[in-house]
Amino acid sequence: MCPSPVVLDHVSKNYGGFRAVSDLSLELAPGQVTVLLGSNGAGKTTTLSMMTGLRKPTSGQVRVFGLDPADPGARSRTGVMLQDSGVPGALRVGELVRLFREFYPAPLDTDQVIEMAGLRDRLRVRAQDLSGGQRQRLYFALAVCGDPELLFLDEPTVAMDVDSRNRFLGHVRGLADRGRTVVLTTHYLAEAERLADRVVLIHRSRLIADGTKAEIKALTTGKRVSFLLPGEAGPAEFDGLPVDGLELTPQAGHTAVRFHSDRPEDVLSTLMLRGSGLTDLQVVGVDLEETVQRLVHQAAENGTEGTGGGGTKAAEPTTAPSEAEEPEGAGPEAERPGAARSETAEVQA
Amino acid sequence: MTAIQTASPWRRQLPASIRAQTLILLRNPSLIVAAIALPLVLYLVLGTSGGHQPQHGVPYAAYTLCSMGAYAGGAIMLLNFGTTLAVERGQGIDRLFRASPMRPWTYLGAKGLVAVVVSALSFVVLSLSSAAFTDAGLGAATLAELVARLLFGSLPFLAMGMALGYVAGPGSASPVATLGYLLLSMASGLFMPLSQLPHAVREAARVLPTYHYAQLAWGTLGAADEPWTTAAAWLGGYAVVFFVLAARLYRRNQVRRFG
Repeated sequence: MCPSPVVLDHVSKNYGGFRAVSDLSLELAPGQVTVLLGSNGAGKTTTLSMMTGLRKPTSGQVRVFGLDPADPGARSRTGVMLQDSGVPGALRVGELVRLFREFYPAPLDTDQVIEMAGLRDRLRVRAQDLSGGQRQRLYFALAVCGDPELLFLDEPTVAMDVDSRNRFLGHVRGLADRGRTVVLTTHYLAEAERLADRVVLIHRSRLIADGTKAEIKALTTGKRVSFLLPGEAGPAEFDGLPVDGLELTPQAGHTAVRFHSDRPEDVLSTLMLRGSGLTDLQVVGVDLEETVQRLVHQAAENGTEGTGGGGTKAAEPTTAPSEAEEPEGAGPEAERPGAARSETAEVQA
Repeated sequence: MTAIQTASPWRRQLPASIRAQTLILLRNPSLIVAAIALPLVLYLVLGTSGGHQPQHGVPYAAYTLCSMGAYAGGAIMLLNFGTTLAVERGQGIDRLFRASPMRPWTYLGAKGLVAVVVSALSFVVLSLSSAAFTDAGLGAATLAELVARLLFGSLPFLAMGMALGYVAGPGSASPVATLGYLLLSMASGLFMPLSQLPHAVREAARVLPTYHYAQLAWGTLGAADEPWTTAAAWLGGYAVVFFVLAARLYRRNQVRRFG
């Protein structure tokens, strides 16, 4: 029968001494959108590089349609949109699309591709003169022009404005509805929320959650609460309240309080009733970074984390969310710096 | 069971790649200048200036035509072909193509073929200008033979360009190739006759690929210091050595970038 579009069998990847992906096993179903979610440096791009045959796993095996991902038979059924590839800047948008069409056995019409990528008015513009978002759309056009059954998109919406992003996500959903298999990496929860049939959460080279959108969403309930209390406040004030990861930072004349809670209303009404005089209150949805931290923390506490092997310290219970990351650029495929914290607004969506 | 099809690399991928590489070249004025305009200007200045003695019994303008042809052939392979390989690698263009169903050799093949066509064009332009503007006095048959010899002799430089493209960094390829090739050309008597060079340089020149390339070209006019078979053997040897080296560097680069 038809082999699965993508199978990863206990795949690991080291760059020198740096472990980018640890023992990852996945089998993707045809016609689904799978979102690889994780913070920068988590190993999403390395995973995608192995799926696209741009990197070979250190151990384990990757199969695309039952073939080596670098096999021309696999590649001609696959479209790829990379995060850090260049493009011959002297060629025009239309010329590049026509060039890439010739690489595939049964490509789409150039017109159709240009329309889908929203590049109609940029057809005769050289690639080097495109804006960041337009270039992303060009990469999308090159990825879909061969009418591939399988589409890999690495952080595709980076640099796109809100309109382009919405249109783009709509097209991706449309491709999946027409039976295409899509693998997309992102650190925006909102994109996962909008598109994913399946979400795979990767943190520090490891898979830490894999499930449907609803299953992952259940993991990200609750709010992050912060406010100031006058004078010096101790942890005793929060005894018996549903708070998690409490942080108290003494400041001039007051104490900065931060915690996570599944029932912030209960915590706040209790504090209000005590007349504690809190100011500067903020209640926001958790961002991905914190969700990941909580999942890792939980995994460590449950003792299910870390099946041995690897040089990663995924279970380290840290309180500083982003400082504990692996250094940016540690591996050749380390993901792009910047935009490290996903917006809290995205999570509430 | 679906039959796995691939786009025919010969019938579709290669012609499309050649077309793209041609457009890229045509839109890069600095490459056109280095490949065609610079050798032409050098030739017209050096070859028509008065006061030069005939060399090896042939008019100076005819002798210099061969020298400048050899200069152009090497420059195109090293500065156009080799340098752009390194620069495009630096821009990550190899990743874009590598992830596509395009066969890797299609890219190299198209670039190499375009370089050969451009060098042929450059040789023809030099030959025509020698007939039109100088007193070289060479007939069509001689000029055709010269172009053929120059094309053959450019092969080791094609290999050197490929090796350079996979060993040099995107920023260093151009300065290294420009300076290195200029020194090689001067030491081999392409800009001034060998007889005017210091003894030590003349001795060293005998092992340089540019020296034998120029000898092969001068041989068209019977103005060479060695038989064409010797020059061809040296150039063939250089071609083999550098193609082997280029293949190794290519594989090393593949492992580094895609391993």
